[in-house]
Order: sequence, then structure tokens, then C-alpha cells
Amino acid sequence: MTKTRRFVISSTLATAALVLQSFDIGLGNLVLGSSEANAKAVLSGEVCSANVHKLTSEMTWYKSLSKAEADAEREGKLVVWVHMLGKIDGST
Amino acid sequence: MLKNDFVVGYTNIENKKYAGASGKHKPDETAVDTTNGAGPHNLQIFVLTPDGTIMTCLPGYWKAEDLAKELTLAKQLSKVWQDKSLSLEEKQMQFSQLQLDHINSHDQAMRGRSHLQGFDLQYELKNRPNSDFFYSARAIDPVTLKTPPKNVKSVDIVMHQRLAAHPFEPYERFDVASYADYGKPIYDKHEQFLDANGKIAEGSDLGSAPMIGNTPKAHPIQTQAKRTGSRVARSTVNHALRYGIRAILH
Repeated sequence: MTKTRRFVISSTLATAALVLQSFDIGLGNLVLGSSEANAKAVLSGEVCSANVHKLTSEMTWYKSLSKAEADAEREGKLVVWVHMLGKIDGST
Repeated sequence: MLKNDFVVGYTNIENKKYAGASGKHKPDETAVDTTNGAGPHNLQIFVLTPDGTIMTCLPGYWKAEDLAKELTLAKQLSKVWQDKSLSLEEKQMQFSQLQLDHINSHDQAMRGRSHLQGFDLQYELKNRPNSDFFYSARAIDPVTLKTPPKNVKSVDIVMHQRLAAHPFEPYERFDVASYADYGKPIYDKHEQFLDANGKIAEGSDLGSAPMIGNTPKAHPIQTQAKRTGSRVARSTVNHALRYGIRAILH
């Protein structure tokens, strides 16, 4: 079995990437690293911070599932409910 | 899509028994991309109808473009769930079929983004040779714990197969622990020590990295209380067995 690189995981980054993609903003528009290959592998703290800020400032993140469900019912939407270690705008 | 079509929320699972553990990272610290389904114990993304019924649950991290496809499926499933002309049994059958059919819509690029992390594969080979991640347990060498790549399913396949077995299940009754259980329970990637090339910077003190989730390093006080409690219990039982019940009552 070929040894694979171990990539890190950031649940906050994952969700941030999702939101940015939904906004049609690709990661290529942000400053990522010294080379394109490196930019796809590692995201700097500045980029992560900007992603998290965008994620948490442009959308309302409910902490109560019942409230999320009630508003979703009223607005005719579904609920995306994330289980994560930590806080959406803090350490994860 | 997310902003316009969904209400979003989250809950912190670091104190849940089924949660894994990870290095703890601040929003302004370094991070890297990874494969779909990585970190299933630490992150689960549900899509629910307002009545709390599960349309889908994505274990671990998911790349935005692949998550978008699954969100689209969830919207399709919600129409089935809300179709008053269908019986519950018909709805459940359609749910399962749509989940399994979606596997065939995943192109090779998505399969490539959804392979198990190497250490997760090794964990499954070593600890769960009968795992649903393998097409055949007999294709695993019990001595070397190696198996041909074609014997290993990607996470996107297993996810849909597991979901197909839980058609339109209420969120409150869903067994997250079992559903999201594959691979290593603890991740420690030392992201905050990575340089721009993705390598751990020289001189990094990896042992100083904070942790989060189900690990003693994240909960030293709770862990000590649990250990003390079990020591007292064992001591009491041993004393009772040796000297009789009266000995522990006096």
C-alpha cells in the first residue's frame, strides 16, 4: 500500500469552502501561497480567517435546531445542520 | 445555493461520546484541503426537512462542488417526502433507490476526491476486515493486511449505501455514532505547525498542540475524575470480595 500524504482537516474551512463555492467565489481569487501547487495544498491563516469571516458574517448560523426548523418551515427551505468539534467562528 | 435555499445551523459535538478528537485550531491558523469523507467522527453535515426528517448526512469534510451535488439530491428527496400521493412505504423505497442511483452519477473525478485516507484504510483493514468499505473480506491478506485497490470502496459509495438503509429517518432517532464510524477516531495533523509547502516546520513542538474532542489532552480534569472514580470503584469491590460486605460498610 503506497503511503499517502496526511492532509489536515479543518471543519471550519470545509464549511467556508462550501459557502464560497456557493457564492461563485473560487479559492483561486484569494492569496493562497507561493505557487499554484502549494496554494492548493496549504491555505494560510490569513485566507482561513477571511473565509471564516465571510462564512459567519454573510449567513446566520442557528445554534438551536428547533428555531432553524421553524424558520425553514416559514421560508420553505431545508435545514443544513452541522455537527462539528468546536465553534463555527472559533477554534475547531 | 446554500445561502438562498437553506437555513444553516450547527451544534458543537466535542462532548458527545461518539465524537472523535483532533488538534485544536483557531480560525486564523493554517489548513489544507483533504478528501471527501475525511474526519467522519468530528464532522457530520445533515440536511433536514423542517419536520426534522433526514434527507442526507455527509460524514466528514466534503469539497464544495461535491457537497453541492448532494444538496441537490437532498432537495429532490424532500419533494418525495412531501408528496402526499405516496405511502410511507413508497417514499422509503424511493429514498433508498435514489440514494443508490446517485452513486452512478458520481464521475471518476469525484470518486478520486472521495478515496479513504491511507491511515483510515489501514485502520479499517486492521480492525474491521468485514467493513462495508471492502467488496470482499476474503481479498484482504490476513498477514500483511493488504488488499487490492479495486477491493476498496470510496466514501461516496459507502455513504449512499449506508443512507439507503435509513430511509427518511427522524434526526432524533438517527444513530450518528454507527453511521459516521469508520477510520481513525483521532486526527492530529499539526496544521498550525505547517509551512507553505505543507511540511511541519523545523523545531515545532508538536506535543504542545492543544486538542479538542474525546481525548484526555482536551479534557484533563474530566479524564482525571473518571480515572479516580473507576479506581475507587475497583478498590471497593476488591475490598468487599476479600473481607466481606461488612468490611466496606464500616
